[in-house]
Amino acid sequence: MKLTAARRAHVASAFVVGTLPPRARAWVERRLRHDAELCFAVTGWQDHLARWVELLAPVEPRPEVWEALARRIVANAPQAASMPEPITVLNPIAPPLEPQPQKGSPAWVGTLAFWRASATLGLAASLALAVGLGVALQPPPAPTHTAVFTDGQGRPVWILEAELPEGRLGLRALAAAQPPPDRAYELWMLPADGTPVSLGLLPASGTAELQVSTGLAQRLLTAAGLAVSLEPAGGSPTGQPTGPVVYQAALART
Amino acid sequence: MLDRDATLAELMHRCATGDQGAFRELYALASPQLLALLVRMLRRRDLAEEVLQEAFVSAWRNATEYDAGRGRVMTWLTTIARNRALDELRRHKRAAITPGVDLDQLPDETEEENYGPVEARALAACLDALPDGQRRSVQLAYLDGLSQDEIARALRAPLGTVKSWVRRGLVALKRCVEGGA
Repeated sequence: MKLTAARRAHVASAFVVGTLPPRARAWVERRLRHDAELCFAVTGWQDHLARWVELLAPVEPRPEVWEALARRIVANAPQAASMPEPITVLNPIAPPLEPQPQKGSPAWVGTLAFWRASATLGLAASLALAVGLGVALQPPPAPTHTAVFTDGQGRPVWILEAELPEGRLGLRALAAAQPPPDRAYELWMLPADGTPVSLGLLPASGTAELQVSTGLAQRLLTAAGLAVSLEPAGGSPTGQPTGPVVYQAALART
Repeated sequence: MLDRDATLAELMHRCATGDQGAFRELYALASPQLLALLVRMLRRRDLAEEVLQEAFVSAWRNATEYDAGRGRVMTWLTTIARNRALDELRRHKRAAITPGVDLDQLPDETEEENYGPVEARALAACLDALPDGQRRSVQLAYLDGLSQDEIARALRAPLGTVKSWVRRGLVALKRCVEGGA
């Protein structure tokens, strides 16, 4: 179906302002995948009307909102092929992952909201995202490296077993791994040069599995060591250790 | 305020590399405006903050998708936040909002003017130039997330009139904004 210029302008404006009935909205969403002119018109309207939001009297979110957000992003790096260090926390300390998309199927669309945002921002990038999200869950591996974090009396607190360079890290908490209330222990890689890189949160009991990117796994092979810091519940809000480093260990080849 | 747009674009670019510090700055700069919109749409502070959090998680996870060539960061973030809020409104069928929707309960529309960059004030001038019914209809649709049925109830106007207001309002707005009037 060919859209006239006037019709396209109307549909785009109604789509953005939100007055299209559901079926028409769905039609536009499908059409946006291949109709560059419509896409352009929609983006133009989004840009105009978003200015309106800048006219509203700002409302400061309560600090708890950032704190909760910071906890969630520690374990969820941006997902795309170009990302240097995506970390996927698999089990059991992670917040729930977004629904896992299926490659080559419309299911990757996920929420309507996500799709609507991405529709105007590049289908190719969305597909890259879908592939990036399709991280397969793997069975426990045979470790190539281990690290043992011990307390002041030499008692082991956590045992880490890593399969490198695949990037699978298995963690087991032993005694005394319980952090103080509202705190969490966070695991860091100390690169040979540069600043610490978060690997995720440590389990207070039981086991957890972390999957790090191949890039990060490569760096782990040459890391100067590992450290554990005491952070606010949910992890460091800044991406760097903010609390005291309470344990350190070397990663040793098995 | 081109500076703000440029700053946000730079922060967004750094977010795409996994820079959590940049994300924190982005949040500090952008969240109060987005929360203003969400509180307005959802009428509940707690729900608005939940949606704000979801929107920023989505922005963080999809940071590599942001393409500066196709729009400003605020546009991108606004689209994400607004769509999430609309989903929320649709999911709850506006149970808490629709039956009693009334002009008296709607947020004040004259809280604007003192905020925002030059470009935003140009939009404000164009909005001000619209006839009252058109401006209120477009506003209730975009800023409050109401359907045309709900707008008709809120403005106590026939649905056909509201549809016409929205349509004509948008045409006039586009002409004004793009004509730089």
